[in-house]
Amino acid sequence: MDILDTSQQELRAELRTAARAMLSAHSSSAQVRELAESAHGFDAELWRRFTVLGWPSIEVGEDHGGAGGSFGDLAVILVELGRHLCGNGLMATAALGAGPLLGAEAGSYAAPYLRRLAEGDFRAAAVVGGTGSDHLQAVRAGDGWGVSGTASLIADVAGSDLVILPVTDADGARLVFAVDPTRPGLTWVDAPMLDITRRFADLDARGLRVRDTEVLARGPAAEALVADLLNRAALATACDAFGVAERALQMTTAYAKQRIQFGRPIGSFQAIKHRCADMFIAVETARAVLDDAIDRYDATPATAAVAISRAKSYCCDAAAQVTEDAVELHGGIGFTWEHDMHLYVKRARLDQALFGDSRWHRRRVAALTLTLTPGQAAEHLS
Amino acid sequence: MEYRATLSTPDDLADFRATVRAWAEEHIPTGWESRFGGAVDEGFRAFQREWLQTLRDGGYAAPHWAKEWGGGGYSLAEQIVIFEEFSRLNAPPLRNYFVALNHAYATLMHAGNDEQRKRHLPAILDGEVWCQGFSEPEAGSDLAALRTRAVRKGDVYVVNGQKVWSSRAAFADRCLLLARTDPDAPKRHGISYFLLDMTSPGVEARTIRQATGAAEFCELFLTDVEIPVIDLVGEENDGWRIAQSTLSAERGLAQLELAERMAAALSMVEELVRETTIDGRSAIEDDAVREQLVTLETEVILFRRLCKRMVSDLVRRGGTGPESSIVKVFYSELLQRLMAFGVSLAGLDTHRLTVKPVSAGYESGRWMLDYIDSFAWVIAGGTNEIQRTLIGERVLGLPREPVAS
Repeated sequence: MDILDTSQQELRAELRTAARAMLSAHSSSAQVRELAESAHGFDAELWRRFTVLGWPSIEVGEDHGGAGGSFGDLAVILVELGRHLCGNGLMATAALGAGPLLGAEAGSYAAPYLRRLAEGDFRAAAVVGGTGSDHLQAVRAGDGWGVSGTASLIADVAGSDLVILPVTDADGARLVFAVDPTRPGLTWVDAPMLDITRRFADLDARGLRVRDTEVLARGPAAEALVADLLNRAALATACDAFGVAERALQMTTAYAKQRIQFGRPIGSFQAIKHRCADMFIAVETARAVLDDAIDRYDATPATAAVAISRAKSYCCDAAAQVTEDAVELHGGIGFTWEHDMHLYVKRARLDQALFGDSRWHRRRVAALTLTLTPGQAAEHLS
Repeated sequence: MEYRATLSTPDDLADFRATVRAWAEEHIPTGWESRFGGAVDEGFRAFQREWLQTLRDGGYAAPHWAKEWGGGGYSLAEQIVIFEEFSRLNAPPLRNYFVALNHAYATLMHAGNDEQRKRHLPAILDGEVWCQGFSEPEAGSDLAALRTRAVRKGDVYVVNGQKVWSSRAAFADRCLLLARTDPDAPKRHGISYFLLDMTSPGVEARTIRQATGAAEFCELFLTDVEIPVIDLVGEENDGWRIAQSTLSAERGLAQLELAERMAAALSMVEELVRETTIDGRSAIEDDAVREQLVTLETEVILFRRLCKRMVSDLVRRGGTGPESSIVKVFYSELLQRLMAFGVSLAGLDTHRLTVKPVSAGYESGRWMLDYIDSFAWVIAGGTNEIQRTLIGERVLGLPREPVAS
């Protein structure tokens, strides 16, 4: 992003305003809590609003009926989802499921899915993998593959039309499948979380049959899709955590202005004021590292891993700290179920653990930059 | 190793960049960092004078000044190019002229009159050294409590009092001075802003040895010093407001320089990590050290991005956003963390007695002295506690603390 180019910044500011208005009206914390209590955990009307605004297919090219935007545009919405504690399948579809479909070769069997994504009545989910926690094995069987293994905490897979499955064959080569999640051989077990604002399920795959025509990519192309999917998942989660932190800070400063003790607003006490200032510094520095990663991903996705891992660890750590401070500054009310702050704390901490925790990402940066021969790190920093 | 990067600038500045680069490659001196001792001696001052003159001949002494006052009159985008090309070749900072070129200029343009500009701006370009007389022994963070008195007597103000932390006052030509002109008014409303001639009778400056052992800043004793009325800036008793604009001159492109120098220091830190041995292996193989280094690198990278956004706001809106208020706090504490990390790796040797040349800057590779030096940033220009209060009140809108009467 050119620092002197203001048109893109203005467009994104408009997108942010629109997203905030819509989510404030239709994904308030009361609505989020109501949805959490429901059995299905999905608000079809809210999804329809997403599609009217073109959010699920924001990155899909205009040739497939999408908005032709970039990840940076999607990022604006992901931050707002975090601010509003919103799930409802949007991150799973737009950031995760859409990733390998967008990255698959032109003319592959991903094309019809991209069109369906743009039409709106289509949701996708993805097993992300790549951080060493999930193990799906594929064995050659006839003109297709047999898949078995497990994967934990797959976001928003219930009700999805498609799930992306990265697998490893007997020779250790990567393949990426895309199948209907209701296919026999896939067992999804709802995984209730302490973070009630999002839905997850664990996967037990046994005897799943996948046809060659359902292979999205194999070999080096599959490696690239899997690497990109992890990067997108990490970056999207950093966006979510940033939105959580930004909102927790806003709620805390508002409370500090209004809560009276010792005859004055608690925000006038230096102990509170300085803590709020530190929360603000955490949020603004997180914004800087996040913007840097988003710009690098949009410029050259294949070389953005270092910047993304920096953003994932920094933003999630910042959100964890800011929400922790926020609860304390709210006092007793912040510790109640009735108050929303615990929802932010739990979402921040889950973000921190998803798709590689902060330590994992720092070590990835170290592995990619701190080689034993000096001089190779420079390109990642410049 | 090269950690520097280029801020993106429009392509139509390519010709301009080529011109600047050619000049820079021909004129920027090398090897100056370690050439001088631990004091601001005549050799260092002469070096600074020559460098100012060279820059002036090239038209780069004051890129941000208006053309009519002898400055470069460059746009912000052009200033960024100049800055980048100069820092690429590690040009010496105009340390002795920092207050003159930035604070004095900002003050005169914002609040001075044309006569004052005509009198002082050309002299600054000729090499006048300026200092600041703001803080006092009893007025540090509570600057508005300053007690130095200025009493109007005919065509002069008679000034008595004491100032402290005035860098380079021992050899400065002029001083930006705050003094109380109305002791009965509320404390912020009784202060005036003066341009003090340091050769006036009754002015005495004594150097203060700093924790690093070097002596750059001074205390200033003012005894029946007469300041002509024409050296009053703005209206009498309006000095507090004017001083705010002077302090804001510390923000802006100067921050970019700090960010770039810090990024350059990262390569030094990485080199130290590689050279340091833990249990017979290079520290670069130690997981804990690697994670710490990655964290510091991430912070330096995001600090550069913060500065970049501040400049972008300057270009777009002519002012800065919330970044400017956090830049100082984050920079200073990051510098401390960076240097403390260096000290933690450098072992006993970094505690051996050594002197840091006054020209070496904040990242000299003398880890323990750099660490001590880094404290200057968490204190100077308003301590970080004062900054946090400003962030709380001015950015977050939290209520002010009731002021004891």
